[in-house]
Amino acid sequence: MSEQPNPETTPRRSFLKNAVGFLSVAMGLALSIPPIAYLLDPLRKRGDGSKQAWSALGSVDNFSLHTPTKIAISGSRKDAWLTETVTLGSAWVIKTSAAPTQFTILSTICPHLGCSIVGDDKAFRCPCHKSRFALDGQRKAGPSPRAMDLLEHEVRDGVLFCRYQRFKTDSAEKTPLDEA
Amino acid sequence: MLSRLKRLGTWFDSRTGARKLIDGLLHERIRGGASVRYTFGSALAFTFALQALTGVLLAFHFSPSTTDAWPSVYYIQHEVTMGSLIRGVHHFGSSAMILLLVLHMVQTFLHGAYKAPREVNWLSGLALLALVLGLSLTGYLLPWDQKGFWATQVATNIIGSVPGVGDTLQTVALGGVEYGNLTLTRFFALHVFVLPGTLIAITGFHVMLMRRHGVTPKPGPSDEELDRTAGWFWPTQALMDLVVCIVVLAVLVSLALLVGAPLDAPADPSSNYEARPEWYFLFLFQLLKYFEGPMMIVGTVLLPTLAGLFLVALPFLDKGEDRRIRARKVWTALFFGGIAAIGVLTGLAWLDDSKDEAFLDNQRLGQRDACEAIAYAGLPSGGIDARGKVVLYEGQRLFRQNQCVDCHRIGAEGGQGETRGPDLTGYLGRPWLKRFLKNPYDDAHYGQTKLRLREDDGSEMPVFDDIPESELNALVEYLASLSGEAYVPPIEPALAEQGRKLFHSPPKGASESEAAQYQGKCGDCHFMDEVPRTPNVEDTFYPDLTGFGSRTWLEGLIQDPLHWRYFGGAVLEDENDPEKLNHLGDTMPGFDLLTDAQLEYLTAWLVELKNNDNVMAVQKECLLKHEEP
Repeated sequence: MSEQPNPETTPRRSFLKNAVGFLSVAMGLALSIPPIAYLLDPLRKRGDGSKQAWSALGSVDNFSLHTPTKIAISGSRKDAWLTETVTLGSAWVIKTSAAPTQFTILSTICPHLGCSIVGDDKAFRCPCHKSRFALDGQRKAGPSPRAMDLLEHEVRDGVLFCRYQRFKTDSAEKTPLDEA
Repeated sequence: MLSRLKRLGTWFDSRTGARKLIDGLLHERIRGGASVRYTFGSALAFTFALQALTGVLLAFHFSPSTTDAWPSVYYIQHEVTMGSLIRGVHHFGSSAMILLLVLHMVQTFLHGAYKAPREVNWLSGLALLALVLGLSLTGYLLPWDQKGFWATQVATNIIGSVPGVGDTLQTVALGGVEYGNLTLTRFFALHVFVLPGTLIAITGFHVMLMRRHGVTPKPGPSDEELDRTAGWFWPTQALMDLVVCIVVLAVLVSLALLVGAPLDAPADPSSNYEARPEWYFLFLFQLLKYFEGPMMIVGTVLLPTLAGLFLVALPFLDKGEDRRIRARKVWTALFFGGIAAIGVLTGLAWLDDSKDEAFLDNQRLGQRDACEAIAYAGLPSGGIDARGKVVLYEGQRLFRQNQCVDCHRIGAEGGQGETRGPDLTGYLGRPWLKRFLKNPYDDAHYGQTKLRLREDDGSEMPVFDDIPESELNALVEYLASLSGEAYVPPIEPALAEQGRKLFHSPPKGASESEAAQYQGKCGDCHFMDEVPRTPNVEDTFYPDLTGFGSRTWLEGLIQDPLHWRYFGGAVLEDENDPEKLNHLGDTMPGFDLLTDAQLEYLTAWLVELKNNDNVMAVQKECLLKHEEP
């Protein structure tokens, strides 16, 4: 052992050590970039602006005036590799006028933290954190930062259609997630 | 800054003793000096780390079920950023592992490093070899593509051929008597947890033993000579190892980028795909060809077991202290004889296949299918459904399987049979409809069918070759709109409405001004819901166009084309002249045994045909490239 030259002082050894250090760092970088890009792939796919297609909710006659009705909304959605018709979510539908037919459609997702809002003929409330809303969706009390989210809808040949969307929770602004 | 870092380092060291640990790892003395021939072990460890890294990344997107495995691998390969690179490195990494293992083992043998006191090093190395082969086998199945499915069938049936316990072993391995979800989940758990976990543990043990006994120097030089030329792992051997690892990485990345990991068509148990295992299992595959009937066990189990036993027993059979080759000629001959036999068998397997026309044809069809599945999965109008099927690919396959393709031509494919139905290139697209209206009896439409009989008896559909182009376009738009399918460019409602009025005669009770808008007579022959009439089988000669071109309409047509709503009336046979009938061939048979799902895929395919550019692009890319030479 004593015959070995002091490793710290030999120029060849320090060159080799630097070479190992340099190559290791280079390889580390080369090895980390593709995995990071790969793992961040969902960011690239977010907010491509493709809106959910219209979903039919049934004949306008199915709804009675001023009575909130909870409806499950189905639609075709691309879920990673599969394109399938699934239940996208649900909404409270309230017929506000019979002639002309007018509706208020409110997402059941609480704008606070995403619990499902329950309701009766008089008001809506979120069972999780006790936010309360009026029948038109206006916020009455509780931690929700905004009113219930109105969903886009239209009536075609007597059939009610709705475009289901999700919005960013816990934000005063109503920001659609598919356009974020 | 630097001094702070140093202080942090000192603090960490005082709590963990990390420096001593690292020093211990790096300051290994190598008798006889550092050498490139000692790099294989490190390269193996590095490649395994790479497999672990890329494997974990793949698991972020992979879904081990028979429905989702292929689609999720397709997704990784074609839709995720850098997914093809990561999957490519993982795929070729498995070959690199095998190659490096063999090199490592040959080097170990040449230095006689299996001899005392390193018998356990050798045995743990053999265990690692078995684990790596197990990882290759289990990983091969996971994409659930044709190649993986059929090649793994052979391997698991070999397990089943083991006398006595074979059936039990096979059922446990597959999670049942046949391939299914449980096979995938089991192989996934083995491939991702059990085998790599065991491999890491044994590798740790293997490296620990290596450090205990040191690297085995080249046989020959005296102890004094070895001590005089001794070197250190750090940094000389470390640099050599690192450079070899970089070479391995560069080769794998190049292969991933230039060749790419293959993905065959989705597994189909009904197909006759000719499977071949990965190249490193080809020798076993070749061996199977030489043993028939009750002798099969020799090729499948006996010879591989004997070879394994030889390797296990080697350190205990060859006990001489002299590590030089000339002192162990018999063992060297056996060892390299075995390797040579593997090489020869591999070469023979490859040679057999390269001369086997049937196999090459089968392989070409497999490549065509793979290309089509991937192309159709990526089309905006295509995609993968909730059953995990590539919709248009399934539709096209059913179109071929049910012999539709014999009579109906689509682009460069089909229409070669004795009988000819309409050419379906661009079927129900605007140009197709227009050509049809201009001359329904053109050979590309109904000219070679019995519908042609009507041409002579005065009840035929007229040829619209003299009406103004604008009216023709309006009629085409109306006919296209009946399907309710999306057209590119979209249906123009105003033009379709104009077509509607050109198609129908005035409704009953229409006012004069209303009636004046209607000019057509097509609706007099073709039933349609919009102008309801009571169908009368006796005088109905013409297809009902209610929902014409829609999936429901097409489903009905496929199931029973001679129903009165379709061509049942139109091809009423001419009893007076059977000769003429025969000349004009058969009518389309009804495909009433198709399942609902099959009908769904077939109609989806027929509906896609109108997007002729897409279909022709896939045909050019896949069918024409893999045609018979």
